[in-house]
Amino acid sequence: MGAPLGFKTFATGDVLTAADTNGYLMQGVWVFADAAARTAAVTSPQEGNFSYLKSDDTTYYYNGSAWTAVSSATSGMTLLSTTTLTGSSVTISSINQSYKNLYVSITGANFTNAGNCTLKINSVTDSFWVSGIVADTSTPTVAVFGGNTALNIFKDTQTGSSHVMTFTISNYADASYHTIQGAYTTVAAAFRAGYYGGGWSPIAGGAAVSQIVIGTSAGTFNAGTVKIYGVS
Amino acid sequence: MSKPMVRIHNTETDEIIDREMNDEEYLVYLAEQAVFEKEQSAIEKANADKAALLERLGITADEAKLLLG
Repeated sequence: MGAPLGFKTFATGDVLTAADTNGYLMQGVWVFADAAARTAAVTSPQEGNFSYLKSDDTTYYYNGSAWTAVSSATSGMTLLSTTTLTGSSVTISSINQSYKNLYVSITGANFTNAGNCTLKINSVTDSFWVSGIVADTSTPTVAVFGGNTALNIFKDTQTGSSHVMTFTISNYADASYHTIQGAYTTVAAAFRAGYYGGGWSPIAGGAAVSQIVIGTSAGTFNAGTVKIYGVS
Repeated sequence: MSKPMVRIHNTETDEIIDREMNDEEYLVYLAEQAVFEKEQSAIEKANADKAALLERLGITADEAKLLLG
C-alpha cells in the first residue's frame, strides 16, 4: 500500500498517476470486518495509514511496525479478542501491544471435572508469586494462588456452571515484571469467591506479555468466554 | 490413547486452531495434574484428620472455634 504523501490540490488537466492515487486519493480510513480482513487486504502497510475494524469498532493507525488503536477520551478499554473456552487449555497469542494494561474477563466458565483454572504467560509455566483470600466457607482463609507455579485464577473444587473470573496485568507491553490482581466467584452448588494479588517475575528479568494460556487443572472446559481488553 | 485437546487463538489474524497437545505440552500437563492431585489429597487428609479429632473430642467445629477463639 502506498505511503501517505500528505495533501495535494489537483488542477484541471493534471494526469492522475498511480503514485498520486495511492499516495493521496487512497489515503483515508479503510474499513474492514476484522484484523484478518485487514491483513489480507493491506499486505504492506505504511507509516501513517489508517483503518477501522468493525469487529471492535476501533480506529487504528500504522506506526511503521504495528497497527495501533487511536486512543479515545471517552473509552479507556478496547476489546482486543473474544475466545471460547474448550479443551484442556486455550492459548491466546499475538496480543496487541499498544495499550498500558490488560484486563481479562472470563464468564460462563464450566469444567467437566472439579479443579482449578490456571493462567500461564508466554511460554513460561511458573514464576507467579501470588496469594489471596478464599471465601468458600464462613471463615475466609489465606491461600497461595501461585507460588512459583502456574497461577490459579480460579481456586475451587466444584464443577458448577457459572464461574466468573477477572484479572489485570500491569504494563504488559513492557519487557519487565508485572503485577497481577484478580477475583473470581461462582454460584454453583455453593457460593464461593476469592481475591488475589501478586506478580509474574520470570527469572530472565521480565518480558512483555504477548500470550496467555488459560487451562484447567483437571478435565476440560465445557463452556466459557474469554475477553481481553486493552486499557489505555 | 489420544492426548487432551488445546485451542490456540491468534488475535492478530483471528485464526483459531484446535489440536491435540504435543508431547512437550502433554508432559507439562501430566506434571501439573500430579501437583494438583497431591494438593487435593493433602486438603482431603487435613479435613479428615480434623473431623476425626473433633469426633474424638466429642465437640463440633463451631465449639472448637469457641475454644480456640
